Amino acid sequence: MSNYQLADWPQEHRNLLAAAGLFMVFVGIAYFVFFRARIQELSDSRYAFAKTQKKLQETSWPNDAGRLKKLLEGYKRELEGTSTKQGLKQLAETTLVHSSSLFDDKIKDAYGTDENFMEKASQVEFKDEYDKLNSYLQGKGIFLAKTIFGLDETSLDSSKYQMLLKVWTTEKLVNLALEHKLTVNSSPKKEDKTGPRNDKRGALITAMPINSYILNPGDKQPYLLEIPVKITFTGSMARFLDFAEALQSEEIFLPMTRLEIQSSPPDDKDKGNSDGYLIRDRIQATIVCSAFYRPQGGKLPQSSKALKKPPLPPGA
Amino acid sequence: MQWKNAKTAVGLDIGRYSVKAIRLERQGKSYKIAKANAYIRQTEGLLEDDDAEMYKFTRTWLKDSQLIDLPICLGLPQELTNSQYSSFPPNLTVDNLRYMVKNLTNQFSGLSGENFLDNFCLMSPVKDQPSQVLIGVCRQSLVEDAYSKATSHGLNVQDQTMSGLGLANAFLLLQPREAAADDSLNLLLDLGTETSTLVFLRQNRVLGIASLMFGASTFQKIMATGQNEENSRSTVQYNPDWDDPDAYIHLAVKRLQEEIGGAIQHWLETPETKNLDCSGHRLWLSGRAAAIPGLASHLDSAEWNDVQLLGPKVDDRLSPEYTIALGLAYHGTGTSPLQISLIPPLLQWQQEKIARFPFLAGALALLAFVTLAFAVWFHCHLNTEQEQIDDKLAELKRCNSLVPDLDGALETMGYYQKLLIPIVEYGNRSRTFLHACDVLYQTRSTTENTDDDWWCYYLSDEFSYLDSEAVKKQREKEQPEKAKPKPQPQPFGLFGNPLEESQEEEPAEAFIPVFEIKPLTMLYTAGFLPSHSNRGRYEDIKRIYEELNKAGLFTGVDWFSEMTETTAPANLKGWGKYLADNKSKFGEFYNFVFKLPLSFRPITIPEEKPFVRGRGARNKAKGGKS
Repeated sequence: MSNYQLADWPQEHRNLLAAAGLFMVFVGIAYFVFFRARIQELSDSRYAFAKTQKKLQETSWPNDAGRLKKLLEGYKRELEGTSTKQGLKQLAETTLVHSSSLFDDKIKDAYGTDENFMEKASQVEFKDEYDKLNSYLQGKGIFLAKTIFGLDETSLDSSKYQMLLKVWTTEKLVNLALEHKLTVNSSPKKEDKTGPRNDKRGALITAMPINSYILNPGDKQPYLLEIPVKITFTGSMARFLDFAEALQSEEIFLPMTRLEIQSSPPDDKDKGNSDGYLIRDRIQATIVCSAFYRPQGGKLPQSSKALKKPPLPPGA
Repeated sequence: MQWKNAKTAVGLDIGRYSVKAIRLERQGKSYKIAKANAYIRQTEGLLEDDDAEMYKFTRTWLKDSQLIDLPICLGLPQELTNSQYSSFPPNLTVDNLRYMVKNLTNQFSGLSGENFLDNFCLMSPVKDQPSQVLIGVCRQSLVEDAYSKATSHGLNVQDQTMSGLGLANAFLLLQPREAAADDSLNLLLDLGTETSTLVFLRQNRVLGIASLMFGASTFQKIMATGQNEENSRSTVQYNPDWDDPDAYIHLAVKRLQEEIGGAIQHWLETPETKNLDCSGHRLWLSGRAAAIPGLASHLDSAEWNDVQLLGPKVDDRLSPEYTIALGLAYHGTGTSPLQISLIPPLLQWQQEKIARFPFLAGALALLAFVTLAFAVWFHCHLNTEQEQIDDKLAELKRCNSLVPDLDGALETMGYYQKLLIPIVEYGNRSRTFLHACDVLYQTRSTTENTDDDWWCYYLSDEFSYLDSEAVKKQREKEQPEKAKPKPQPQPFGLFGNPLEESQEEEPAEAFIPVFEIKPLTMLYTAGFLPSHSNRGRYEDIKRIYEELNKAGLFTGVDWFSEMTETTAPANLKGWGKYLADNKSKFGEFYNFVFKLPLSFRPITIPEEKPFVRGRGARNKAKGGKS
């Protein structure tokens, strides 16, 4: 360190020191005037950005408004449809209407409205319907056994209308099978005896328990009832295929939910075709067909806000 | 005030008789005399010992000559300084030399309590040759006194050196070829008013400086004695009669020759000059008295071959009186080969600082530039960042504003999709079954009515198979029997009979969330195919399996190993018996069972991922103890 004072320094150095000092002051002023507020503003913006981004990240949506807008438009188009394509809303409504309108005519004729049907369907009416079906099927050589079918005139259920629905579904299904020349099989078990004189084997027709579907766990009312009926019949493969086709048509929606086809070995009388090859076209099919009914009529259940958010679609 | 620089300098030679100033200005690589002025103190009415008045007048005179602001190199009287020519070991660094010179000069101060200033100059160093150094030493008080006297009167003194060194520098500037010649020793003699300075110079090296107690005033006195004049004329104005052998000028010349000879002898006795070849001396005359007409030609001696005048040309006239001033000016530029500045420590320190000032200023300018550049960059960066953040934020806000609509749309879509789950799942099953029948038919059709004809005797979906009697029985066998519930007391009706409704009552209605619907994923089929002795059993089965895989409806068709004899369809036995009975007629057949996983599912139920919270929960999930 030199022992010289500031005054000993050459004037140029002192001028330079003053200039440097002034420059520092200028830099300090410039910082406060030009930069501090900007830095604060930027910091605030960054904070707001991070906060907004975090908020958005929690939603799992991408940070691209254009893409989101396109997605939204796509969803809206998918929901509402276009002039050429049906929207999901309308599709759902028409599909539900179509799939659950199998018994609309009967209900309208007998009860007027679905509410009346559900409230006013009675045991007597069930007994009457069951009796009619039983009589009709007996006329066709088909005997319903309670041990197989699950119902008879004495059956009791808190929901009378559901019992009626089972009877009607069975009636539709058996009629359709008969229309296609399919033979309803009878139970091979001795204990399944039924008929007026209890000498007939019960037909392999079972009215299975109704499945009540709800949208969300905790829903108090089902929005859709599935009325499954199991039936076993024998016939040719071609007839069976025709029958299967007929289960879902403009008027009928009785989708086959289960299928088990078996073919038995030929009898001794089966000699084969002209080339000596064995032809065996008879099959035994056990199927479950379901009819659907909306217990609330045409009303759709409320879209619950508590509904768990569906996962984002691919590409979102 | 202008600091010492290489562009211009003023050499100020303050003599007892006159004051001479020369301004030297750089022109390319050489210097030229831009101005040369002098005044005679007596003429200006300045008393000989009144230094203050002299400096005051000099200031005005320099100002009038427009030299006042220029850096001045002041000459120190040679007789007041001490110089020594020394040799040091070769290849020493400057710092080492400085250290050794310092030690040497400390000996000068000896017992004296005075401070001495010293400086040195390494002359024409040659590698591996001893370092020849000229050292200048002067009392600090003297240096500071001379400096303060000049500066207190406003003279911009930037350098001071011995007048002898000024003479040597002038010679190097004026006669560079003669100075570099190695065949002769140059004796530079400046005849001052009271004293003279003799410089021994050879090959650009000052080998010694001596002061002679002989000057122009001695000439005057001798000549005045001869003429019986108390106040003789100035030596310059004096025109001696050289032809008169009795003229006192000859006496004066003889005396000067003796003085020079004595100085040479004394110089030759020093250890440094012992081995020097001293033949061929040349004497150069400068100073006021050198201008005495005929002096140079009559100063010949046996000790030197030639006598010449040394001085710059001022107004096309050789002016030996300006020689010292010229040498000082040359020294003042800092570019002269011989540099021994004897200046106060403060000035030296200041000059060091000034010499480095451009670096400092440059560094600060660079710092300022970098700071400003950084500020500009930072400003732009802030703007850009702000714009980017604003854009991103606006984008995020737009996203955020769309999120509720998107969530709502998805929720609505999810709602409608969920509404359709049972219909879509069950509605598609019929078509899947029919499609499966068609695929099996098409696959088989290629072999129909051939020896390779195969057929299926069983086709079912996974649920039907699992609910089949055979599988149920097998399952019951595998599972231990569940404890049968104890019979509960039945409520009785009014008439003591059990209530029919109670007996028939079905379990409480259980609703099925649509997400719990099990989608159809698999079909099973079983059949027979003829055996061929020339092919392996699984060769044909593999072909069927490949055909089924190709059809597109199934993916990963494979052998259904779980279907064993006990869980096989009821009609397998019948078929087995039939084919065994007719083996002679139809040949041998193999049984095959396939599982047919569906490649397409009409609905995709999102899988619920278990939400694990915390470490304990994770352990629990793994079955560990928390």
